Amino acid sequence: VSTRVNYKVAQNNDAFLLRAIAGGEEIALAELYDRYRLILFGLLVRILHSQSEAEDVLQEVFIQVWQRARDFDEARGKPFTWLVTLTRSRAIDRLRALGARERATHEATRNIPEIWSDAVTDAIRAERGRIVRKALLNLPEEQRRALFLAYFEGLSQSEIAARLSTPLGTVKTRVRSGLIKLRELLERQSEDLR
Amino acid sequence: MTQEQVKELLPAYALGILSGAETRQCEELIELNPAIRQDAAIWEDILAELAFAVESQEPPAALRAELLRQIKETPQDSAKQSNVVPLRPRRNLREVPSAPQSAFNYWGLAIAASVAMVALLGALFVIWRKNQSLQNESRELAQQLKLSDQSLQEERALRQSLLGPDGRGAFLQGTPLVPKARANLAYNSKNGQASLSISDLPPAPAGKSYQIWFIKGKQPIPGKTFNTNEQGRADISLQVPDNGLHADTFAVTLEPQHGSTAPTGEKYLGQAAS
Repeated sequence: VSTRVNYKVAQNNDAFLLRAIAGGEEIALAELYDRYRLILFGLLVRILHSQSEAEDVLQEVFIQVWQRARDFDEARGKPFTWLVTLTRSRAIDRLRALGARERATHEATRNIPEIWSDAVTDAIRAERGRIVRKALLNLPEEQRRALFLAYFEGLSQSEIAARLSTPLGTVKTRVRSGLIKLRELLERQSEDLR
Repeated sequence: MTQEQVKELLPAYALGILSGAETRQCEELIELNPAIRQDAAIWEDILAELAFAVESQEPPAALRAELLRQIKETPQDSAKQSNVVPLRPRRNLREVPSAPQSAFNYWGLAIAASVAMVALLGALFVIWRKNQSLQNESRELAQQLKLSDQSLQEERALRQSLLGPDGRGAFLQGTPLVPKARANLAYNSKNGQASLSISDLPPAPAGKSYQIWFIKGKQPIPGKTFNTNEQGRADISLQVPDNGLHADTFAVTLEPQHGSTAPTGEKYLGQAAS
């Protein structure tokens, strides 16, 4: 792959930025925000189905990053994973507090969007998005549905079983098989790019 | 629950859909077992990637300004572990042994006074030694603090340099030899100050080092040699050579321990995007 990417400032060096944030440097938080605002806000809107709620939670997430940057342990995980986990966790908490699951559930099972926003100009993000979307499209529909209900709505396995009128054991198998296949597909497609 | 059973639960654990009891069992084993911890981290990475499946959206511009305003008023949590070296408590001067009870006769008094004087001198000597030791300790601590402060200042200056308008960066990916390896290079295109952060690159074999190259056209300009730790990580500061400041691309090869003037070993990291 020889996509041309011109990184403005220490692009992708998230750990570096988190260390700077832990040191109290506001410019580093601004840089981290600029780097991930699009993807995290997209994720929040998808989970919460509300622009205003998504704005609130995005702000909460970055304030939490500001407060807890010193807790981040590079040896135990990647900064991006930490950021997404934090975002998803707060979004699902908000969703539960709002009691909005019923309203949102039908959205969770919708297909992966076909058209990307024009805002997706960063080549790496677009490339990673393409890989993930392709992998998801390769999952059997029932596995993808179970996975989406868990990931985007935070439903437990029992709740997914009830929602889909499917035995709990079947849901467990679908989620696990779906994730294992997703992992294989992502690893394979990432290697194909090299 | 066996280790194998917990391993099977890790995907659902990372997804956050296990029951409370199952979650606790996973967490206990993750804390105890590095292999399980690593596997859980991989599942979490996979799930984080799912965020890329969603259509990106631009939040309102005012949100950024509001966030930056808010953090000025938000204190950061204190570190989990303090780096301040605790001073040993000083011994209380009242602990100096008291002189023995004196006798009533002269000789007895004289002997007692001599003993008291010896004891006093001994005690003074102990106190003097202790004082010297504390002063040395204090000097060492001051020196350490000065060094820490210097490195903090240097690190801050480096960050400012890399985050400023002359900051540039590149993302390097592992070659098929080390497909999971990643590196981020950040450098200042004016003064050449740089920071290289590497992950998942196995330590170089004995007698070898990794070396970074700044490549302009077909000309590789040698950079610093380095090695990674057992976890495959390295975070190093380096200086980009003047003729490497306008490099088109970057690479990392395996070289003899003290480096080479031209690449001789295989490429381990290269720039996927240049």
